[in-house]
Amino acid sequence: MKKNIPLKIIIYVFIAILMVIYLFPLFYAFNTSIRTKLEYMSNPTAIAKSFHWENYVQAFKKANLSAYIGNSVFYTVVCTTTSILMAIFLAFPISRNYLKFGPVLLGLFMIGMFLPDGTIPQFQILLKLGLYNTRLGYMIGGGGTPLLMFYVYIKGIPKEFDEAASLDGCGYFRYIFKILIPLMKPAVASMAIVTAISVWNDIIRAIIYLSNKELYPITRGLYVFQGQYQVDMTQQMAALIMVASPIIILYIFLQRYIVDGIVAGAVKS
Amino acid sequence: MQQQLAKSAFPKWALVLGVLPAVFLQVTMGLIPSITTFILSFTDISGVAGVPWKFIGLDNYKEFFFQQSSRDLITVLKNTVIFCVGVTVIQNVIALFISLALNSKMVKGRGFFRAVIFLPVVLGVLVTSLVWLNTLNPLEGPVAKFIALFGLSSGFFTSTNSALACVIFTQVWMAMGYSMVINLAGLQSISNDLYEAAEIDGTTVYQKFKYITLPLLWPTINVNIMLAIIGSLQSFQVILFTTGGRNIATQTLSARVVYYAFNINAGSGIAAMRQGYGATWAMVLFVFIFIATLIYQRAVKRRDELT
Repeated sequence: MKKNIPLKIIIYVFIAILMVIYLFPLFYAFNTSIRTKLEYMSNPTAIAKSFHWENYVQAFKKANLSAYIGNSVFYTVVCTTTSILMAIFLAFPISRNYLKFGPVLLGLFMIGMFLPDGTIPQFQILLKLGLYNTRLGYMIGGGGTPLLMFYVYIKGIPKEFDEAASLDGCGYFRYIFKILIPLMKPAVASMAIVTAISVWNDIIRAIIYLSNKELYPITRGLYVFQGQYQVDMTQQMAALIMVASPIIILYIFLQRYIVDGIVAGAVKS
Repeated sequence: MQQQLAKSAFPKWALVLGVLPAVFLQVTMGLIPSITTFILSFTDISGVAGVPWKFIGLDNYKEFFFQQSSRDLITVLKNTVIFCVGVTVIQNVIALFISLALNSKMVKGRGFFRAVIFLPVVLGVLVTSLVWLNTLNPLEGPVAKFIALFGLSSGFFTSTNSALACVIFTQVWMAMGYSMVINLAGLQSISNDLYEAAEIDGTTVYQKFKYITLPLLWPTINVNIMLAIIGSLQSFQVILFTTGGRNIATQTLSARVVYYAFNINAGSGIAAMRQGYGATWAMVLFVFIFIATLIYQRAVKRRDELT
């Protein structure tokens, strides 16, 4: 394999450049966040000599993050749980071919991407229902329905389980919760994490639907720094690190599930 | 696909009851709004509750094509095309090289490199945008200082000349991991036997790429390109958070939809949320996406016929 050495060097140089482009901005954001405003103003790019956590405290207060964290956790848990459950109850009969109109239902969920964007009428409907600026209005439609991964996964679970359970007198809903969901653990974990991340990261719906500060999720708190005339970068980056770190920690431990879930979401198109 | 209806082990009413919530939500929050966008594009409806509205025929479309500044319209359409083509081409070409490199057994620590490149996908659009606003700060930001070594300077997101390029770069940076993992999944399904056989025949690296990898990976790349075309035409978030709604130099069709319909970042100048007119922009965007995918499909078909 001697002749491959130049190629190997090219590949490593390529990867090294990529790593700089991907890691440097994150490192720089962290560096900015731990410096005092004065230090930053005198020389923005210098490496921090000592850790100043004051920015975190101030950003925490200024962006009111403590209140928003609770909201974000609430939205994430509720949206993720409901969309996962709805998707499983939808995917099971279609995947098993138990319903005459199953293929129609599948089409109903697949056709969405070939239609115009419905954000504006969706807003109008929620406005008419008086759900603008409410938790419920913000959460409706926030999670999506991750149907396809479950649809495929359930096909791999033998039908004999259904029959055995029903012969033993196990009802449908109990069957789903006690037998099917435990059998689908990897798929449920993947889709739950992916859904949770997308709800946690949502900002557009938060801007469109919420005007009451008490209802803001954490991303909306980060967004308050935006649009101010004199943005205090050190505080903004401190807030950003606080918003991003739960996701980064989750990502480090659950990377496998996250990647699987996102690939499954992509292949559906 | 023609399957016999299976005999259910469970009562039908329970199955239907389980399906209902998802279907109800999909119809009321997904399908009906999508179709209603078309209807609203003929109205002057606003985003404020209780304000009366009426059908105004083709007025919105007339305004779109004839009454707005044609220079602005052309700028927006041009930006939309540049953004879409730029993101699709750059993202897919680089993602192809990345996935080849990070699939190769020559490279140690592949898992770590993949994880790093995929990270922005989970960090989300707001964090991504703010991180790059900070890094590409035109006044004494690190990149500004770096290019100053070569006697260059740039306004990055703030200057008309460079803003669109910066937005494209940020979008590609964010979505690259997505294309990469799809490519890697495709590469892993290519059988190793083919490469081993090729090695016995003494093929070069380039020949292996051209005659084995590329043809077998093509369906995957095709999916990636389609996703990038549709995704880039629909995405406005990076534009919104980096250059805002005021700067026409980076406005695309999808950015204009939210600009008119929700006034995000539009400044305090415009008070009314013109959702009827916004719906008109959404319809134009829809037609645009339709045409773009059609053109792409045609090109692929012609290429397949040639080979």
